[in-house]
Amino acid sequence: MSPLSIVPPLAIALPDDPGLGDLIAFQLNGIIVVATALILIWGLMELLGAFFRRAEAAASAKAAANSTANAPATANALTAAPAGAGPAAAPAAPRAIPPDDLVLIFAAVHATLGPRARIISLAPRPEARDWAAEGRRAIFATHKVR
Amino acid sequence: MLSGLLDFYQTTGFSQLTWGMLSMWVVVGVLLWFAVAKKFEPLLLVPIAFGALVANLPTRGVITYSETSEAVFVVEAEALPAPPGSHHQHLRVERVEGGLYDFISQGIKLELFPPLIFLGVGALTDFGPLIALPRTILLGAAAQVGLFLTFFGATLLGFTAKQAASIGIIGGADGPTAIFLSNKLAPELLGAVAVAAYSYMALVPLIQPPIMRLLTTEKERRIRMQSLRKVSRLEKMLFALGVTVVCILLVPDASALIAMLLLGNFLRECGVTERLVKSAQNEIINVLTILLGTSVGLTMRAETFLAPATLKIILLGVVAFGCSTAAGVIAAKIMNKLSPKTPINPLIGAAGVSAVPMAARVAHSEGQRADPGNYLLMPAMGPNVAGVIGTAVAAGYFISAFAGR
Repeated sequence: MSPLSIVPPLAIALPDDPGLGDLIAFQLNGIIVVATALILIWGLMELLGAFFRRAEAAASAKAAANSTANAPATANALTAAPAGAGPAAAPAAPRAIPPDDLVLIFAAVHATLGPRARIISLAPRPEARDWAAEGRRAIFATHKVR
Repeated sequence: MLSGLLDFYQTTGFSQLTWGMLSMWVVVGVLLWFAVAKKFEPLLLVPIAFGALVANLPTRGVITYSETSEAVFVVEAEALPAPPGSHHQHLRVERVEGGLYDFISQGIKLELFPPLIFLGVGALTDFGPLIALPRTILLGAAAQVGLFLTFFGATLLGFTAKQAASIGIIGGADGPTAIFLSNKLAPELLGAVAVAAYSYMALVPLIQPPIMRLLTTEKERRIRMQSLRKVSRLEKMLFALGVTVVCILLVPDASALIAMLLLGNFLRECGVTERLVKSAQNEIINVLTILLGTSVGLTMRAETFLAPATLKIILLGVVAFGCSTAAGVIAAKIMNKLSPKTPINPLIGAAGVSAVPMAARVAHSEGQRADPGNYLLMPAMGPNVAGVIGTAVAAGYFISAFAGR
């Protein structure tokens, strides 16, 4: 099958004894080729990114709606349990928060606010990435950069 | 008895030593000191230095086959016109089927090792930071400006266009690409170009910071960048496929490098080829690094390496590196002028040279020097991996411009 002629060849021929103008034109052409390739990839990434960000936002909105719908039941379950009895309350946790995380949250509340504190409700923040970032920062900070 | 000893002396290697070889031993010593004592790119510099030592010893059976009467045969020769009255056919021997490294170095001559090393590089590279912050790809493009400026300078210094392209690629700070291009366009410079490329990659923490500080203000170095979004596995897989198609369509001469880089990356991201990824990340790249390094070192013979051209290449290499670093930083500053609402820390522009991940670490380290709470490592990985793609594309451009000339 004959090839499609979509774009002209990009590399220009440099004469055997190039002058200053030839060299400058050759360089500019090279920079344009590299920039074109990377700008095309940039465009591809933006397209992919727009699609995936939209999909992620839709999933987050759905998760938030589910968690709001489950909130009253969760709040009742958590209000009934004293803060000091965190591990015992774990089985009643909402599906969005893993039991291990609940244990940690109860322990943190108990340690910082005391045994009289009660947790009224818990709900995940869909966009919260600060703790993940903090974890990464802690890991990077432990590596010595020479 | 004396004549017997003299005859024996003629059979030893001592009789074949030259001053050039002894001078190269000093070069080998310097490279080993850098690699072992200073830990500058030891994985490459140790095999290169050792190969250079072997190349400058009167070896037998390593580079060319031991010349026994039964085993030597010519595989490449050019027929010369016979002198008048002669009944013998005269041949100029171009190549004799050789020893261990004659075969191993075919991996460079046939352009096998650099793309296979790129397979491992791809398997080790996470393009997530670049995908999460796509505009940093422009910094990877800007850093290639140094490469073209050095091409210009090398041409003015009397190198041929092919040689100038091989020297300029040092500014890309990508060893396998430099070797790939140099072998294709100027094999006579392969040793010097490889040594310069890997030496300067090792010296990134020394070369880049002064340039970065010179071109940025304290306030710019303190700029904090937004957290990167999480990139899904599917997005990374589509990125690998898309980049392969775009780059090969635009610069087919970079196919070998680009295809293997992104094959390695796709293996990593697809999640179903764990054994292959582990092999690419460990055994394949490690074995090839030993073979590539020693093969490059074996090209560093005294008669070719100890030439004024080598010194020029070393000097031009540092110019290329400096220009690439500066171009990346300046491009980031220009982007901040054009888009002041979402500023980029200009230090990450220096990571556009593709010394992965060293250049990104240096940007991070310089950022923390100005503001200990500033974490630039992940944002800097974006231009860093973009630089790998940019350098491969630039190499493809040079090859397509000079192929067949």
